[in-house]
Amino acid sequence: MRRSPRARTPRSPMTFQGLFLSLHQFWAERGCVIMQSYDNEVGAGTFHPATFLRVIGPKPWRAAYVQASRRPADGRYGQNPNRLQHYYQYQVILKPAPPDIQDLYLKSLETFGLKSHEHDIRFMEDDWESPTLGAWGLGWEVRFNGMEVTQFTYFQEVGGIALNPVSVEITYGLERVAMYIQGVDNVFNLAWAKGISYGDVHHDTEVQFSTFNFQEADTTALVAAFRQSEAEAHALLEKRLFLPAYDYCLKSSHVFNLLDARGAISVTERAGYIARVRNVAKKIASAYQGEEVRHSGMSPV
Amino acid sequence: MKHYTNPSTTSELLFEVGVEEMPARVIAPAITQLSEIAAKQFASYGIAADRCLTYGTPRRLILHVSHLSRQTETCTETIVGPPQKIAFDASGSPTQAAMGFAKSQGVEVAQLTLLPTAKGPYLAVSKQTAAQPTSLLLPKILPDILSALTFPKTMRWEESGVSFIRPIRWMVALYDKKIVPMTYAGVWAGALSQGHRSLSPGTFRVGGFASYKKALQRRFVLIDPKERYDAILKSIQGVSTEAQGWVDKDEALLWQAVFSVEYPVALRGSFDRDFLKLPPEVITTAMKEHQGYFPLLASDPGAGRPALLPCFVAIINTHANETIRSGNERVLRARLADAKFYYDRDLSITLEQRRDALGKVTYHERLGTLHDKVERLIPLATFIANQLAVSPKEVVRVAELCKSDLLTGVVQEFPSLQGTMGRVYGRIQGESEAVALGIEEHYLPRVSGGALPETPIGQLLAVADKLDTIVGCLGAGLIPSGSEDPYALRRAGLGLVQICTLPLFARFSLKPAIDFVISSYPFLCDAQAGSPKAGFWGVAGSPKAGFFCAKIVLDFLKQRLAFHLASSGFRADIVDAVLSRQADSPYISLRFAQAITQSVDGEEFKVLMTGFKRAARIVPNGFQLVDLVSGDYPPEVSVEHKLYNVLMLSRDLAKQQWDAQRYDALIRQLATLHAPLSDFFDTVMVMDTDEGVRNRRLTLLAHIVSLFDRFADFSKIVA
Repeated sequence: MRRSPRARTPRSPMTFQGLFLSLHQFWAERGCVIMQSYDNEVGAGTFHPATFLRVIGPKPWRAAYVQASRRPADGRYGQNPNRLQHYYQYQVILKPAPPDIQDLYLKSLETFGLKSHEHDIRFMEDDWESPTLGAWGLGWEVRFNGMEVTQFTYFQEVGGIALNPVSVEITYGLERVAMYIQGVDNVFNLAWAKGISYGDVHHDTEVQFSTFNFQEADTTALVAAFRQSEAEAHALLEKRLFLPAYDYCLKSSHVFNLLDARGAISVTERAGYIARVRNVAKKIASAYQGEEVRHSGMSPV
Repeated sequence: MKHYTNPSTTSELLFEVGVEEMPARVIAPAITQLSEIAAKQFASYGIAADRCLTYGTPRRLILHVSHLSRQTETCTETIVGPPQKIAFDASGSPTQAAMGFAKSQGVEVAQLTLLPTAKGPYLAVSKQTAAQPTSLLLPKILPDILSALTFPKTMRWEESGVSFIRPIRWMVALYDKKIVPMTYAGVWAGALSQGHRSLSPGTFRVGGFASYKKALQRRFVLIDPKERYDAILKSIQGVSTEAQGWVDKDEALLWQAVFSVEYPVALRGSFDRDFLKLPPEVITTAMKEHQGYFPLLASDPGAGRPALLPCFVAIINTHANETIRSGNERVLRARLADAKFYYDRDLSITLEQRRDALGKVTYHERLGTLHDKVERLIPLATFIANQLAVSPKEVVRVAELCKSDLLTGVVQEFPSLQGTMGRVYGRIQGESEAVALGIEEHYLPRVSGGALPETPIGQLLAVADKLDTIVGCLGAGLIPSGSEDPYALRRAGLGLVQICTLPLFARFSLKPAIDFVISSYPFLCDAQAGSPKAGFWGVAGSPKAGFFCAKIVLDFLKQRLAFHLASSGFRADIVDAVLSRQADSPYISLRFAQAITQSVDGEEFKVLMTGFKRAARIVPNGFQLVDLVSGDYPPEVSVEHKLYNVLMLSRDLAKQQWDAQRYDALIRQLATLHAPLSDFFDTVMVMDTDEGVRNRRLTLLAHIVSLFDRFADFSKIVA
């Protein structure tokens, strides 16, 4: 039989879990602390304290983890092949940003058999901003033969604080990468493990939570919950307990997302809610910064 | 006073800045800036340079000067001191002034020279600065050039805190084939460059520019954007000919591709023919936006409306292969599948049925929902239609339906298709062609200077929609300032006045339409609805609010009209003169400015202006204008009599010409005054000692001034 010169795809393509196992291996070998998903509802890996707080202050830090993320408004009752209200991000955070970071990233792709010279890999401008976290950065979305698979950001500010040193954040869209590797057009058909599909694990979650997010979530209770979480965060900040305060900041942020998905927030109210979450996030960031500076014995300027 | 001499021999400078991928949109401006800033820097040091040629790709900015002087030009500077007459006393000995000047310049009095000037001879001293070697200055000049580059948004990434568009990872700086010892953003310049990221990774040593360019070409990098542009066109041609297709030369898309790759290759992909059932605009938008793909067309240009082939062309940054093709096909397939899902679903609800749901979409907190907007547009469009003598039936239909497509899935997925989908869905749902086109055209112009609506209904609704937005926003105090214009009111205003200069609007007047819009916003006219915060001038809810709002809107539109006329090439003084009297009808303003422009350089007009301005100067401020009495100007005083007669005739005729919008004839009519007015000034003395005589002459002149003033402020015209 004639062998195709490009036949590089492994006989059975990597499973979904194989993907993050190999990323764990790769980044652990490069000095990253391998962490687990934060146990709070969050919209993205950036909200994990291992990113949001650890990028503040002068201490070097490297971590990698899978973050289960929720975006209530993106639910499609399990019917859309590309959209989920609950999905996974693979997050790498490196402080300070190493000069060869783009090469490192491309090497990480080789761990699941994607060789950069066989593909059209593009770094396309994509500036990132999180109004709720008071954060922004510059970077790219990385496209693999036209498909966006990774967000790549040099953080400039978090919680309104200008960062020094600058951290780099790499966020792999795990489902996208896996769909690409496995050649699957529907996320629910991904092989999570041998014999177990993504749909087996998560289809029911999508159906039930879409129903909850769009139809059943009790908006009156949610509005109250927002207010309570916000108040709790402020109260905890008074007591300098900024870590628990951050949990309540995350809760209020998620509640806001739920209210938004329910269509219970008008355009004008929206800006107000976001500003309230940001206000708490900023206070937490500066409390954390104060603590960092105290520990490192540096002057706060 | 500086004077350069002595050009010295030259050497080649090559400067390459290696950067992580820059955004496509910033590279062309950066290349231009780099050349200009370098030229300025070299000039400021007195380093002679031939052209500063610059190139760039997403990963590098390059400056090349083939002949850069090896040293700064020696500079002779002459410093001027006190005048000769106070520098020497009667006996010819130097005074304190001369000695003080010599001392301050560190020379002996004997070394001073005399410099002849217009004010007589002055003491002076010539000083020469020695030439400095360029190689010693470049380590400062090159970093200065980099820090002078500006970008829309910059970032920090390393300890020095330098801000740049993206991290700098390497630099090549060679002058006279030697490395320039310079550093910037923590990177030292060297002689090592890099090839294409994936096709030729690793470094290589750089010599001169010619070999550098060739070496990069071998390493899959074309540094010259023009060469990449040509390569893209050629490559597109190749793959489209294979498919017997043709690609529309979309310049914006082409240049975006030029600045997204170092090694452009066109790759043809295909998609399921079934997607061709989608409207072509949906397919091409799905391709172009986000993905930057070129649609492939079946026929030649000019052979009617070309049909889409189920194919696309992507510009990639590497050799094409099957993996890359199928990857890109997958992405487009997902996008088209999304679009098809939304399109099919959209068809199940008509635009008419969507009208009520517009009430759930807030347009703006102060301006209500989209439904409110539509409810305001219906009577407003009818009002304007009546003013323009257009049948209101289809106008009203467009007003009813024009915002409904904002609720469709396709428009929510591809916002740039607003209006277009309204036309597509309207047609399918049995609306007339005029209504379908009106829906699409009411958004025009989409960008400043973009195409204007072509159909009368489209023009009318475009004006109504923009006027509603402008009055509402300005009335709510959302006034653009500086570069801040979040609601794009300036663009809307410009589009509005542009459309109002079209012939359909010959009899259109802004003020009544503005008042009509004001009456449709409760917070601008209804005392009950007004709250103290309702309008920014603090008198909201009173009749005054509407009055101030109308004034602000008229001023705003007048500024837009002035901008439009000036950018259409009209002289600023003529625009000013015309708009000082009337900006209520942009059509009239335009036509009148045209008429004045045609006559302004003629001899008659110049004489007329001289006379008019003289008249305007003589008539005192606050002069009580009384009616002209024919008996005051008897035939015996012939110049007065003649001027009176021509004035009376002109006054009536000018009014007729104005009403008939015959502005050339109006100007010609006014110009008939030039001869009698000149004669008048040549013969009589206006300010006669006899009060009666003086007053009757002044009255005559005041009526002439007032006649002119009705049409334009002619005193502003520079003859």
